[in-house]
Amino acid sequence: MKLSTALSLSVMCLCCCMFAAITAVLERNTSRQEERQAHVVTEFFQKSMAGDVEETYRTIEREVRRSAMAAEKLGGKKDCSEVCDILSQMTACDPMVKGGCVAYVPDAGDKGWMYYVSSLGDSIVSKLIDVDEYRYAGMPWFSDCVKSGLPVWSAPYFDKGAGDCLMITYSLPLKSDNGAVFGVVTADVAMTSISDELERLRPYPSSVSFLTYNGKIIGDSLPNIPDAVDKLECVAPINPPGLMLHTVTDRKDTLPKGLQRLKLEILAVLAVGFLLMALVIHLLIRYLTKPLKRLAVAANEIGEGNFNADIPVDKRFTDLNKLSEAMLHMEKSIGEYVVKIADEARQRESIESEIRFAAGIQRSMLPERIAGGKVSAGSTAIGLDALLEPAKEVSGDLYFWLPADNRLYMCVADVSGKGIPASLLMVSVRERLQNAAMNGNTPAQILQEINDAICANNPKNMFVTMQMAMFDSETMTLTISNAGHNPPSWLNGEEWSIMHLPAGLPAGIMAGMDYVETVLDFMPGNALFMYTDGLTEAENADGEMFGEERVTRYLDAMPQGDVTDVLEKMKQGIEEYDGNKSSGHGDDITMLLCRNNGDTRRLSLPRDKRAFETLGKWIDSIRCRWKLTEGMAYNLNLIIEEWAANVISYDNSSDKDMEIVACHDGEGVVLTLAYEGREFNPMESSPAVDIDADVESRPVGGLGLWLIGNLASQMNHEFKDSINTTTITLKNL
Amino acid sequence: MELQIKPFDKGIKIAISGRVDTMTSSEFDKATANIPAADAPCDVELDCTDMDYISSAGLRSFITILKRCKGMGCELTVTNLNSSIKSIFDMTGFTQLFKLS
Repeated sequence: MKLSTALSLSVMCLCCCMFAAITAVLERNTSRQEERQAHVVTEFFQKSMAGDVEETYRTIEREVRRSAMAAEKLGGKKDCSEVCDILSQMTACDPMVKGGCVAYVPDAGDKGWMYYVSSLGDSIVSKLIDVDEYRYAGMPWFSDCVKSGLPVWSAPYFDKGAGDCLMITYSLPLKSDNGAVFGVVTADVAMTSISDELERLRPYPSSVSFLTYNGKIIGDSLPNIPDAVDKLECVAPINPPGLMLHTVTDRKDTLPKGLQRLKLEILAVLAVGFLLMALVIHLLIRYLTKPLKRLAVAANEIGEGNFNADIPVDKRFTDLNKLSEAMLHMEKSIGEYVVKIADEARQRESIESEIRFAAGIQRSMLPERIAGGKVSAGSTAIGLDALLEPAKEVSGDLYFWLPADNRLYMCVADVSGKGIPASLLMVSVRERLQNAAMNGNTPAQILQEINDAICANNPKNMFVTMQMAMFDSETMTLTISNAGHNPPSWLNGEEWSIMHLPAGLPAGIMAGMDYVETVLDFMPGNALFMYTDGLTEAENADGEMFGEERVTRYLDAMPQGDVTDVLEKMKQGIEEYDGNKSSGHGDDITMLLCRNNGDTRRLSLPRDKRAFETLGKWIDSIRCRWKLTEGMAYNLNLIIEEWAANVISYDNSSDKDMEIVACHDGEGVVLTLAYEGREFNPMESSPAVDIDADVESRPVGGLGLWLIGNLASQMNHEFKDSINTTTITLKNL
Repeated sequence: MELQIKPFDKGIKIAISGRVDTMTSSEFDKATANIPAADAPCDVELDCTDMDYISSAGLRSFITILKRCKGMGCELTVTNLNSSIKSIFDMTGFTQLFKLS
């Protein structure tokens, strides 16, 4: 529903109610007025009639009183023409009086008489009636008067004798000197005047009047009471007492005609006025609420994104004006706000894209992860891989490696702080590492150089913790130096442990620092795990830090074969530990794992006695290089010697050198023995040896190949392209 | 390899030092061909204190000398084997064949 419609309807309903109220009040008032008026008019008529009637009856009463006085003087004489005279006089005084009598109270003997007079036309007839003839003593007109001692008007009655007209009798007591009542004088009055008057009593055309005596209607016939729905009935007392004058009028009659029309005219005016007003109000309200429509249109435009939309201002109405002003203000504010947000978004976008760019550059500075995590340094196979999980897109952590001939340089570093400043310093550190490694410096020297370089130009007093390691495959050693960094973990044999290194200050704190390096054997099966403190400082739900101890425990629990696998498992382990916090780790986490997967040495032996000397020397160098036990070296020597001796003794089909490859993988040595010649499988050809036989039964020789078979934990043979290749595995003793 | 052949109270002591292998075993054989002498049977001691290494060739030489002794009714004692060589002796059953100390 529209506002204008609602307003219009409300106003019109209100007016309707008001008009209805006015009409109702008007109606009721006029009704009441009319009724009162009708009453007044009727009563006026009635009173005037009563007044007239009153006069008549007062006259009659006076006459009767005069007659009574005269009769009292006479006393109770029987034959008394005076009495009749009195009566006649009384009768003649008024045409209404039709007769009268004087009746004497019967004495003790019940003897009594009355004088009766009546007028018949012009003549007056008188009679003397004895009480026996006419038992008047019990009649009301007599007994009531006697008993009360007061004048009494009787009830109206019809006198058939006197022409069937309505009569009423006035009785007056006759009192003796002592006040005792000795008789009654009465006058019979015809109520003709009343009847006439009744006929004439018509205040309104339809009025009908009648009399009641003690509630009963009197008169010859039931009056024609108008049978109308709405009657006006007025009652007034009339003399003689006991009589009531009723006038019944049809209400319709009582309405003044003029007033009716007036009412109709008023109603008509009201109705027309109401309709007109409804129309005018409706149009007016529609017109006045037009500004709201226009404001709505303007608001829509703002909603569409036009912050310069024109907002209509209506100066006529201050509240609408205020709304327009408010909308204008809002439009401006929103417009400005939108511009500000767009600006901020652009700025943020540009910062973020810078960061992404910097992160991209930084990622490209990290060494490429080697396929399969396998790299060689000299004759040694190294498993090498690293993971860097930055806290932000740009990181302050660094890992670095560089294979250089027989050496492998590795480094893990952590720049103080995070984000772009840290990464810039990190980039410069990386450059220096690259240069230093290519120059062939040792870890301590490298740290020294970097420290001095940073200290030379460090306005922001940033620093870097670093762990520098270098594997030299010629000496099978690892040289490691520490600059304020976490101790690495170290696998030697079966168990990982924390490698405690001499402390050093982080690079960038103080120039001219000497760094200490530690050299240890890095044999096949050994591994080095370097990391940054983002790893050890990862916190679990209870706020407990991961710690160095846990690093070794986690590493112990994993199979060690594949470095990439181990790093992945470590990463998962940390993620589970710190609940993989949605904002990433608090700090960058960097891990580098380096494992000596095995060292391989070769030997070529001539197919003659010179071989054994060569072999002897080679075994010595191998033993030294791999730090073999005496037993291992012995068995190695023995196996190769027996094999070589066998070849030299029995196969001179070729004089190509025998080729030996020995690979130490930490669990043992795998020998690959190859020579060109006739097919010969040592495993099948070694004779059975009964080691329990006694000296007589023991043959002199034949132990060579048997020994090989017994010393080897595994043996394989292949003959292909005229080359016999025997692979022998010798497990660590 | 170097051999020092000396008499000792019961017989002859052969002190071996170095390696008795494919290269040196024939030398060993030559030097010990007449020990014990066919005409002078006596006990033989092979003092292996300084013997570093023995291979199948050397073992052959040892068997040879053992058979000779047994044939002549002499006793052959092998002494002071190092642990690696002792393992070889164990493996090949020589520990049962020879008298060791």
